[in-house]
Amino acid sequence: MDILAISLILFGLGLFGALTRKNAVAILMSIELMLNAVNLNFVYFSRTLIDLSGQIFTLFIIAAAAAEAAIGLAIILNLYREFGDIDVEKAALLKW
Amino acid sequence: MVILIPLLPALAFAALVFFGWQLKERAPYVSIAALAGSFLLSLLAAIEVFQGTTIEVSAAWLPIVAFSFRIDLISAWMLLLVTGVGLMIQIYSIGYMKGDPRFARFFAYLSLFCAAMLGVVLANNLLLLYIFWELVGLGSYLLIGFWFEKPSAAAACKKAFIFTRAGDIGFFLGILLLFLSLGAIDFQTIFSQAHTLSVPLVTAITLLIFCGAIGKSAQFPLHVWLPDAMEGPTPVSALIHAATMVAAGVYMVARLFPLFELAPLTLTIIGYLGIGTALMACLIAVTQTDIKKIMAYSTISQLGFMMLAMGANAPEAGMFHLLTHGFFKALLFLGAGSIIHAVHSNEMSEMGGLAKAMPITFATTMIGALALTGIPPFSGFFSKDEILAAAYHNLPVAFWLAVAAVFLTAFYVFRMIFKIFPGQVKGHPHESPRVMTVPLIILAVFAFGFGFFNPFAGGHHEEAAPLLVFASSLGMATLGIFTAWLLYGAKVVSLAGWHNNFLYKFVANKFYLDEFFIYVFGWTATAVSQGLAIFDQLVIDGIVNLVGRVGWIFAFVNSFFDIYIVDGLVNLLAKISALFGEALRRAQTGLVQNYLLFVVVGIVLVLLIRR
Repeated sequence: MDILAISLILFGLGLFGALTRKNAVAILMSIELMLNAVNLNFVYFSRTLIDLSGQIFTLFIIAAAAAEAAIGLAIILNLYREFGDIDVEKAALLKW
Repeated sequence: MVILIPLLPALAFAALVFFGWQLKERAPYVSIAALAGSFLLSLLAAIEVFQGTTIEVSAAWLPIVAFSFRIDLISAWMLLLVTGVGLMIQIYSIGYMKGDPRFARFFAYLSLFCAAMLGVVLANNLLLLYIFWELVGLGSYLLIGFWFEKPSAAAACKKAFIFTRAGDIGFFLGILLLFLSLGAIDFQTIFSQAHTLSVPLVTAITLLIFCGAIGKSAQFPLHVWLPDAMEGPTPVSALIHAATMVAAGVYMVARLFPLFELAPLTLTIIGYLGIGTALMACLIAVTQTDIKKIMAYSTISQLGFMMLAMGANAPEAGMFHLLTHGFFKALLFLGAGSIIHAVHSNEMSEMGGLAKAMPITFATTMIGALALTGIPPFSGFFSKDEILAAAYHNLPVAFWLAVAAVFLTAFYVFRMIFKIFPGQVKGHPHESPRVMTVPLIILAVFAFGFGFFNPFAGGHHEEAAPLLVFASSLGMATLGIFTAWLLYGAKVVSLAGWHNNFLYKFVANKFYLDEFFIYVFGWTATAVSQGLAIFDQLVIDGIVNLVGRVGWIFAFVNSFFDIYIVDGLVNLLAKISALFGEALRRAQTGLVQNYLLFVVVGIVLVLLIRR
């Protein structure tokens, strides 16, 4: 149970960060936080239900998260080149 | 077998129309072979008929009309005449038409014409006769207008077509009237039932039917097409104007004679119209200088003689003259063609001394001329004598007119002979090739000898010709020749200044009949059509324009409906959509975090609702 509570708190922190931070790198970090909260959940349930597929899923998510971080940083780098800043509120060209 | 007689030339026509351009110089062999086949078949049929039988062939066709052919004595002889003379003319044409750009086409048309004419001869009911009759008209149109590059030939073929058509309207009305009153158009039925009709009705029917013969056989006043038809190639003139087309009218009257017999008034009219035509045509022939025109008027006058025979209640005599005339007139035409071929002109002033240059043509033309004049023992004498005898008995006034016509005939024929054959040779004429002279010789044999046996002798009109008839016809013919010799051969009397005579001009201009037709019918037609044109413009065009204007107004009103109501609805829907879009676009902030917020809120809401 405790572990589920930790994972919930971790996810909530990640979501809050992703919704409120202006800094794109911080948002990326928040997303990593949420992913890891999910991983924690998977591992916990794998252990309680004695089913290894949860752990395999976690390994895949870690790999995907690493790729996502690489792509996200590349996007942020291009964002910086374009606007001279990594504030997401400034990158709001796709509006009405 | 009988069907094949007209079918063979018809097939030759089809073959030559489609493949003539490939055959070129060999085209005549097809048409001549076909016609020779018809001739042999006709000969076989005729031999059977001469033994006293009648051949009848019939096939069901339309409900009331059978496709029926009948060969009796008259039609057997006509078959032989048409195929025989046609054959001679086709052979002659090989020489005459040599080098013509539409050589094969010419023989195709000749075949079509022969096929149609054989159909006329064989037909055993009026509708079939009428169909082939019109086909003959078509064939003549094509042949007369064969050299259609010449405006005069193009005009002549139209004239022939329209004038014969004018007569055919009457013919057709006659057939309709007969059909309405008897309910049958088959010849045998007509003949067996016609006596039940009242005399005025029969008179009306026969007069209407005779209109067709007036057109085809070139009787007054519809004869004007025939001289113009000389624009066609000379073999065509020989074919159309000697043995076939113009004979169709006479033949038709002879074939329907049992019907005509019931209307004495019609017969009298036919007789006097015939002799009137004959006299008039003789007079005009005297003034002509074109040898083909002389032949043309001569044909008209001889047809008049045949009609006189019909009117004098002697169809056998008329048919006999038709046969002899078919031979000697074809001969004269082909002789004239031979001369024209050599001299390259139709005008007599360009000819002279041809007796020395063209001995065969001279000899054969002389035989034809003597036959036409009616000098014994040439064929024309016997047939003409029979006509005169019949006229003497039945139409005395016409008889004396006919005697005058005999004199004029002899005069104009020998006027031509004396002008072109004796004397000094003009230019360098040469005798025609053998392919042209052989038909001339064959025809000359018939023109000379055909009179010795009358195929229709023993008919019920057999009456001994009185000496007066014989003497007056022979005397008048001799007198005519003698007068022609005095004026043109010996030149005893000078004819200078005669051409300015008022009467001469009147006759030389063909009694101004062409002008009469132009002014009376041409102008009437023009005036009527102009009146109709005005009517068209004012009334018909007015109505059309009115309808157009009404349509325009409707369209105008309609357009308002379209613009304001139909388009309005569509625009309204579009405006509403645009309004919603305008309101909702505000949600599109461009801020990623807002979207993410919406997603989270949405998920939470979904989870709450799912609960």
